[in-house]
Order: sequence, then structure tokens, then C-alpha cells
Amino acid sequence: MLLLASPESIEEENMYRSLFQKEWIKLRWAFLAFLVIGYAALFSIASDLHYGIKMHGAVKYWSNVITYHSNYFSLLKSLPVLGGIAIALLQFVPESINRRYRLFFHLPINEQKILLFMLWVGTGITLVIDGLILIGLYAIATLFFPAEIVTISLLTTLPWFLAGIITYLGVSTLAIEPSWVQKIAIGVTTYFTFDLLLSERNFAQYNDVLVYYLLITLILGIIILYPGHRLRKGSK
Amino acid sequence: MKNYIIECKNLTHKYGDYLVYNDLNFKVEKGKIFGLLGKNGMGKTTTINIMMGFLRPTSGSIKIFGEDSHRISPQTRARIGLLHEGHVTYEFFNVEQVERFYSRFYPKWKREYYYDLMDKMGMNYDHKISKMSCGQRSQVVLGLILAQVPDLMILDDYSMGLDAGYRRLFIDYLKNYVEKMETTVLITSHIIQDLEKLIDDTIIIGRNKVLLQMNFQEFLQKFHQYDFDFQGKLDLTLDDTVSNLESINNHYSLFSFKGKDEVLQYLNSKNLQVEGFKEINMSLEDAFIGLTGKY
Repeated sequence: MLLLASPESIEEENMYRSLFQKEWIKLRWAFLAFLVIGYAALFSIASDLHYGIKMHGAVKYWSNVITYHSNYFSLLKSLPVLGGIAIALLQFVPESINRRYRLFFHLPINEQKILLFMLWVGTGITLVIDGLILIGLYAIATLFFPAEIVTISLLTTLPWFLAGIITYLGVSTLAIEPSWVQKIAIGVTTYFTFDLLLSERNFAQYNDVLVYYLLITLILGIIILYPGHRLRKGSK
Repeated sequence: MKNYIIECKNLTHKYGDYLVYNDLNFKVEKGKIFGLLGKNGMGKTTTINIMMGFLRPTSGSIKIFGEDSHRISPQTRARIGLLHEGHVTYEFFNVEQVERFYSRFYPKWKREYYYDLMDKMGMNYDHKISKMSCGQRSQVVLGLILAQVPDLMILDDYSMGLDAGYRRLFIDYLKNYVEKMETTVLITSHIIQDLEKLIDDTIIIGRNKVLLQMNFQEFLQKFHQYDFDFQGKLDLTLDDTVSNLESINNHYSLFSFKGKDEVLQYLNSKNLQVEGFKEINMSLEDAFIGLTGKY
């Protein structure tokens, strides 16, 4: 059976297309910049690996990585968090200056839906950057290491990327939050959460608890609705 | 029966202990241009913020198209063209992008209204809004509101940051459009001289109180300024006869809705020997300042 979309759903789809384009215009240069920075870091990692293996031989280099958990890709560590901060600020600060959030509160679409949609777009763009960097790391790792090291390397980076998403969500919520006291509380919570995720000592140390962090991320993903609602009603 | 688009009932608002106004009441009739006027800081933008649900009033209510202001549905929002104080818009867009963005939200969108105004100003379509002057930005925002073809326009301090030329352009364009489309308009401003030929009804708010609520032309006809000299300090209480009294040294200006004879009689009844009593022709701005006071 052929399903026809209702005029209302087409209208709403068009509205979301507009909202997506707005977010994309704000974020496109940051997207490109972080991809360039990410791939520059990957290029540097690949050069170091090439040089290290050439100097010490593959077996010695591999054994060093396995025994001492020598992290050959640590250059990537802070990139997701920096990306999360930049994307959140670029996305939400222009909406807050001159109380410009009143513009989207007046659009003929539920404001909570708009806020969530904005977060999804920001999270989506962050994930695409993370994904492309992860693919690059995978490609480099498979060039120089056996499958076991490749797997453990990718698993080690997962908390970093998760820290990036948590930072993005935290900074976005902080940017929209009208009360300074709560801004500080959100800032401190976000800082300790991502800091913990970046403080591993061994490869894939957080694998067992990663699911709990994922849960925190999901909660952070909807918590913005609360400051959004208060902002809509004029809280200071 | 009159059809009211906006109904403000017993509205009171306080910021902490500071009372903005108490018991504000007004109605905006369909197809009329209503001026919500007053000096800076008298609560005009506060009223708009309450009206659009950005702020909850301390007490009272505003209904727009019959809906409570803090529960306006998206469908009703689509019928309201809102100009925010300071011509706030998304500055990361250019002329073309901002039109494309808004066009998808409004079913009656007429892009030609927007581009007609942009073309009149010779604006390049790739001109970024962040690089525009306040006057240029005001025309972009006006163009977007016109293209929306709203049933109600709420224009909050349209004159902010605009020189006389841009203010005139704004008003002329708006007047022409509103007459053609029969749009209801609520306009706020602290600069009044451009509004003479635009506004039908008005409410002028002062500190904590309504100073005037009437047809605008009636206000212009009935409000008078009388100048005179008086030796000594003249201390008159504001009442039905004396709407305001301003003085420089011994020279006084008395503002009143009463006729010349009535005011003279009033002064005589108080045994005040005034000299050189005469009526002064007022511009609209004189009348506004006369009513609201200089300070």
C-alpha cells in the first residue's frame, strides 16, 4: 500500500530542514576544522609509528605497546573534548547573545522539540567527526599492528569520544541555563565526568563501566529541556 | 460585536519589589493599529515579553487570539509576526539564507514582499546580517515579518537605533502594507513623532500607571499646553485639570485636557496670579513629553 505523507507532516519536515540548515551554517567551519585537525593528528601518529617501527623493528615496538601500554595514539585524547566544547559554544552562544533564543521560542513549532533537535544535530555532527577520526585510526592501526592491538586501541579511544559527547551536552546545557548557580553546577559536573573518562592508565580500562557513562550521556541528552523550559518562561 | 485580537486584563508585574505597573488593561481590536507608548523603562518590552509567553506576569492575564499568553500554540504563533526589541535576528545568516530559513515555517509566506524591500535598498543577497548597520538589519527584519503575512504584528521598539530616514522608511512601508492587508498591529515606541499618521488607538504608560488610553487623533486634538509666568514657587497637585506641570525658573508649562477658559478659571480659583497665559501649539513629540514628563 502506498503511504502518503500528510500536508502537516510535510510542513513539519520542511521546518526541521530549515532548522538543520541553520545549525549546519553555524557548525560547518568547526566541522571542517576538527576534521583537518583530527587528520593532521592521525598523520603525525602514522609518521611516528613508521619512524618507530623502522628504528626498533615491528616486534619490539609491538611488545612495547602490549607490555607497557604505550599509547601511540594519545595525540587524539583531548580532541573530542575540545571538539565538544567548540561545537556546543558555536551552536548555543549565538542563540543566547541579545536573548536571541526568543527567536526560536517564537517559531511555530514546539520549543522543546527544537531544543532536542538542535542537540541531536550537534551530537550527530560530533559523532560524524569522531567516526571519521576513528576510521582513520583504524586504517593506520591495521597498517602497523596485528588485529588484537587494533581492537584494543579502538576500545581505548571510546571513553575519549564519549567524554567529547558528554562535554558537548554539558556545555550546551550550560549555555542555555539562565541561572549562574546552576551554570556552575552543570560546569563542575561535566568537568569531573569527562575528566574521569580521560584518566585511564591502561588500554580499554573503562570497558566494563562504559555502559554507565552511556547512560549518563543519555540523561544529559534530555536534561537541557529543563533549563530550556525555564528560559522560555522567563527565569533569570 | 467588536472582535478583539489582544485582551490584556488586570495585568500587574513586579521585578522583585520593583513594581513595573499595576492593573494594566487594554484591548486591541481586529484591523487596528494600537500604540503601546511610554518612555524608556516604563514596561513596554515587559508587556511584550508577557504577551509572547517569555515572562509570567505577577498577576492578571493577556489573551491573544483567545489563547493565554503563556500557552500560545505553535499554530497561533504562526499568525503573529514578532519584531524583537533591537531588531534581533540570526546574524550568522546572509540575506538569502535568512529568507529561506523562515519561509519553511509559514504557510502563507510571500518571498516577493521580502525581496522587494531588499531590492529597494540595493542589498546584495549574500550580504551577511552581522555586517549590516542597525538600519539595514531593521529592514531585513521588517521584510521577514511582511513576507510571513501575519494576522497580527507585534513590533517592539521598532525605532531603536534607527536614524530618522530609516524610521520613516520603516513606517511608510509598514503603513502601506497594513492598509492593504488589514493586519492588526501592536507597536511600542518611545519615539512618537513618526507615529502620528499610523496609530489608531493608544495607551501611554508612565511609572506604575496608565497615563492615557484613547484614540490617538482624539489625544492630539484634546491635549493642550498652556504657558505662563508666575512669581514664586507654584505647587500644583496633578489632577483632572493638570496632567503635568513643567517649569524653568518662573516660566511654567501646564499640560491639560481642559480648554483654555477652564484652566484659567482653575488657576484663578486657587488664587494664583499668573502672567502672559497663552496656549502653545504642540507637535506630537511636545504632547507626548508634556504628558509623560521630561524626567
